[in-house]
Amino acid sequence: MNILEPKSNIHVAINIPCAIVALGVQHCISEIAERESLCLTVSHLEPPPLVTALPPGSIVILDISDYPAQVAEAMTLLHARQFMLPETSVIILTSNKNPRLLSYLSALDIRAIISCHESITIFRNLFIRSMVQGEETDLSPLIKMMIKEELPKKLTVREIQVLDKLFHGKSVSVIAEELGRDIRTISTHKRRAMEKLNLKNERDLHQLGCDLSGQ
Amino acid sequence: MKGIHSLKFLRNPACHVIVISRIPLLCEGLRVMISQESADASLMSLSSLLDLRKSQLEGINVVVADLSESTSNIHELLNTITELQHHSRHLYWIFLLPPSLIDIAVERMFTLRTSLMSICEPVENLVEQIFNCEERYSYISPALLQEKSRFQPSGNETCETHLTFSERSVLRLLGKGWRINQIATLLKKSNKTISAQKKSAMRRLAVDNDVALFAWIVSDRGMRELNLLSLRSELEKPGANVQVTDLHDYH
Repeated sequence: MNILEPKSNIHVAINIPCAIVALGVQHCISEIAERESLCLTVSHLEPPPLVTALPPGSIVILDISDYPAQVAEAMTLLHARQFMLPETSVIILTSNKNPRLLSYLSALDIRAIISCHESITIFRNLFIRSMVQGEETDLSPLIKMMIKEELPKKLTVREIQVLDKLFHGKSVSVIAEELGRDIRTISTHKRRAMEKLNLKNERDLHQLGCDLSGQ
Repeated sequence: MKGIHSLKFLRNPACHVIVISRIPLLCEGLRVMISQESADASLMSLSSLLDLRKSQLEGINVVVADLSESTSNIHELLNTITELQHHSRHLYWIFLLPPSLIDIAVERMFTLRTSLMSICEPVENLVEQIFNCEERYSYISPALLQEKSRFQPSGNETCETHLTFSERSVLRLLGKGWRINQIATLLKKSNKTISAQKKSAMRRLAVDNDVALFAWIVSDRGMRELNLLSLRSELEKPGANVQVTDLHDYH
């Protein structure tokens, strides 16, 4: 791949609970660095609230497993990304098979969603692709198979913020007060977000909320 | 880190390992880890325990099996494991377990020459188990027991919920995606009555917001109480994951 500029230094932060998988990812990345003569530094990212600032342009590899508590923690990180990890690209490595969760993830600003059952070659190729800037979320073949419906449109930062508060049990009027916006503005954010995510009613929204908070 | 490695005593540096995992990156990680420790060790990887042939076990010392994705066909796997354990008694087994399988693992797999470890086990512990397996005959990792103690049913799981008949029917309809006004029309009651019944149901369930209420409705217990289980099978598309209600120890 010669589309890659030999950048001076790209920082990769890994947040994977399974130490052996983390080691595998780390090794895979150092192989890529050697082959493409790139300078990649790898570090382990602590979960919130211990997240430390990363240099701009960093790549974050985040693991989302099947376990509710871990899904909730990862979602906290993703929803607060603008504040905790500004100017980073996120790659998701997941063993989760819930199509609702996966399709919601593809509506967030994420570079790639890779199933952890994917072969190392696929992981490597998607990792290299994700270093090139782009708008679309790359999905690994297995993830593509699991999301059968059409992919949702990307959510805006405000919409994500409103959804996050809704999922934490706050009502539209409370959110309006907290953000200092009119209740109709928030209601529009909520409606737009629901339209984009193809959610028909409150129940669908709550169901998604439950999937994300792991309850 | 290098310094620690060189000081470590490896009882069996030329150990031959089979790793069984459906996660290629885990196999890769284990290969890197083993080659870092000892140049004489070898590793073979397989994607499923059911693919393991008895002939492949010749000359193998340790089998590392990742069971984190095997919740659905655990009984089939247990039979295979027991058979293989009887066939080659010299083998040392290391099982990487998710919290939901700890109980069944302790009951059925905790035999001689076995270690039960957590999927989030620190690398050093695993190295210790792979290379120094002759010493201990059986081992349960402390990390796993810690996970198990966290994995307890929550308090309201044990006590009976006392919902009235009409509260139940309102929750049932809410669970099917109906709105308050629609329910009111259907049941020929005022929307205020329906709202009050929903409110009192929330009080009885000790939940204070809609998200928690819906969480209860779609939980296993709520589904059972409201007799909505047949509905769930329609909702869940094939390939959707089974709801896991345990906690996951996460570093």
